[in-house]
Amino acid sequence: MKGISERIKRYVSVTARMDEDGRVRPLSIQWYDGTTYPVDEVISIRRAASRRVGGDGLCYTIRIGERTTYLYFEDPKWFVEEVVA
Amino acid sequence: MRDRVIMHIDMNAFYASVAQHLNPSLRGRPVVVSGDPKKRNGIILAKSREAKAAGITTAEPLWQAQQKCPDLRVVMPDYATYKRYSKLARLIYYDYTNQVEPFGLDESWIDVTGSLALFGNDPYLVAQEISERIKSELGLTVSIGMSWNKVFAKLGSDTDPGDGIIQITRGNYQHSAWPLDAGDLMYVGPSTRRKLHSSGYETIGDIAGASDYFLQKHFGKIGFMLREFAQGKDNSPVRIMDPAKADVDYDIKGIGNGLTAPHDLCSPSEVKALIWLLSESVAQRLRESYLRCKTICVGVRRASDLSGYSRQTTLRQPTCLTADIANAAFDLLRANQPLDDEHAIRALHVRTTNLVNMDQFVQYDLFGDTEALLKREKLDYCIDALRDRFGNGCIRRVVEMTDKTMADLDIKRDNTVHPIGYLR
Repeated sequence: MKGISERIKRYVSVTARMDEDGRVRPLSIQWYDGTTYPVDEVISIRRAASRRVGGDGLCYTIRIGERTTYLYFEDPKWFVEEVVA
Repeated sequence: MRDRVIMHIDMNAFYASVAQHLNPSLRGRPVVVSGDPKKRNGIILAKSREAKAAGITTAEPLWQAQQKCPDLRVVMPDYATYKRYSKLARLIYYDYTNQVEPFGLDESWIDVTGSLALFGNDPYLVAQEISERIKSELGLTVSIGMSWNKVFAKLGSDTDPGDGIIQITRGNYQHSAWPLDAGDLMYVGPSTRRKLHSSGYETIGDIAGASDYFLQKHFGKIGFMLREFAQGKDNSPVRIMDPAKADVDYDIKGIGNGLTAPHDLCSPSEVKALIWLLSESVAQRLRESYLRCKTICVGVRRASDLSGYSRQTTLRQPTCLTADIANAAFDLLRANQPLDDEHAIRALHVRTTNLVNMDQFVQYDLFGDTEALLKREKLDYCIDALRDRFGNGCIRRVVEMTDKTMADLDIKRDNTVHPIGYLR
C-alpha cells in the first residue's frame, strides 16, 4: 500500500451483536477520536494471526464504506491495524 | 499391516517465537526469554533463531549471553500465554485426528493413520497444511517429523532446522537416521552418550547394531530399549488425551518442587526454611491430588562448583503431611553433608514418589499414636482450606519466616508447568 510507513496495534471499542447461537457480528467501531465507523459488511471470518502488528484471534474482514480492512477479536479485546503515516 | 503415520510437531523456539509474534518490533532480532537475574533465575530459557546464530545456548547464564551478543533483547517468561498458544496449536491438530499426545508445551505427537483417507491420503500434504495453518493462524513456525514410529518422528523434527517437514521412511531411515549422532536419539543423554562413545559407538546406526552382551552389560534393560528405538521398532501408541484437559493431567508418578535460592544457603536454619517451603508446596499438591507418598527424595546443587547429588529415603507408612515430608527431607540432607559456609547450597529440590491413592488403607503402627496422626492430618487440611480461600500467603509457618528473602515466595502458586517423561 502506498504511503503507509507503519502500522501499530490499536485496541478499539466495538459495538457487536451476539446471536442466540453465539455468533458475534461487529456492528460499528468507535475510534479513539470519537468518530463511529459503521461496519457495512462482514466479508469473512477466520482464525488468523496479524503478521503486521502482532497478536492473533478471530479475524473479521470488514468493509467500511469503500474500504476493506481487518478487525481482530483477541478474546476479549478487539484491535485493528492502525496506519501511522 | 499398514505402517502407522505419526507426526511429531515441534514449535520452533517456542517461548521466543511467541514473544516475537506478540511484539513485532522484536522480529529479526536476537531475543531471549530468561528468568529474573535478581532472583538468581537469570538463565536462558529460550532463544530466537537470531540469538542462536550469535552462539547463545539454552540454560546458559544471562550475563554470558549478553557478552556474546550486546544488543540482546531480553523478555520475561509468560507461562499463561505459552499455555494458551500450546492449546490453540493442539486444537488445530485435533482437526486432523483425535490421537494427539502432547510432550511438554511445545511438542506433540499426532497419529493420522486412521484419518489420512479423509485428507487425501498424502501425509506430506497434511503436514504441510498443519504447518501453514499454525503459521497463518498463530504466527508461529513448526518443525514436523514424520515416520512410522514415535521415536523417528521426533528424531525427524529435532533434526529439522525450523519450519520444515522431514520424512523418515522405511526406505530411507538407514541413510537419514542412522548416520546421526547417538545423542540425538531419545533417552540418550550426556552420560549414556559418554558410555557409548567410550566403547566406540558414535551414531544411531551403531546402537542399532549393538550386541546383546554389550547392551546388557552397560545399560541393562534400557539398552535393549535403545536398540529398538534405533531400529525403528518402537511400538508405543500415541496416547489419546482429553482435549479439554491440559497436558499434565495424566497419571502422576511423582510430585516435586525445586528452587534456586535467592542467596546461597549456608546455615541449618536457612536450609530448613527452604526445605519447609518446598515441602509445603509438595505436600499440598499431594493432598490436592488425593495421594500419599512413601519415598522422599532431596536434591542439592552446591554453590561451590554447581555439582549436585540426590538422596532418597522410604518411609514405613505413606504420608501426606507437610511435617513428615519436611523432616524426612531435612534429616536426609543433614545426614549427607554439613550445613555451613563451606558447603553452601545453591539450589534444592524436594520430590516425592512411590505414590499411593488415599483410598488405600493404611496399616497404622501398633504402638504409634494414630490419633495424633489423624489430628495432624486434619490440621493440614484445615490449613489447605484456609489457603484455598485466602491465598497461599495467608498462613505461614514460623520456620519459613526465618529468612526474609524467602518469606514472600509462593512456590505452589508459581508451579504451573510440569515436566513429563516419555516412558510411562
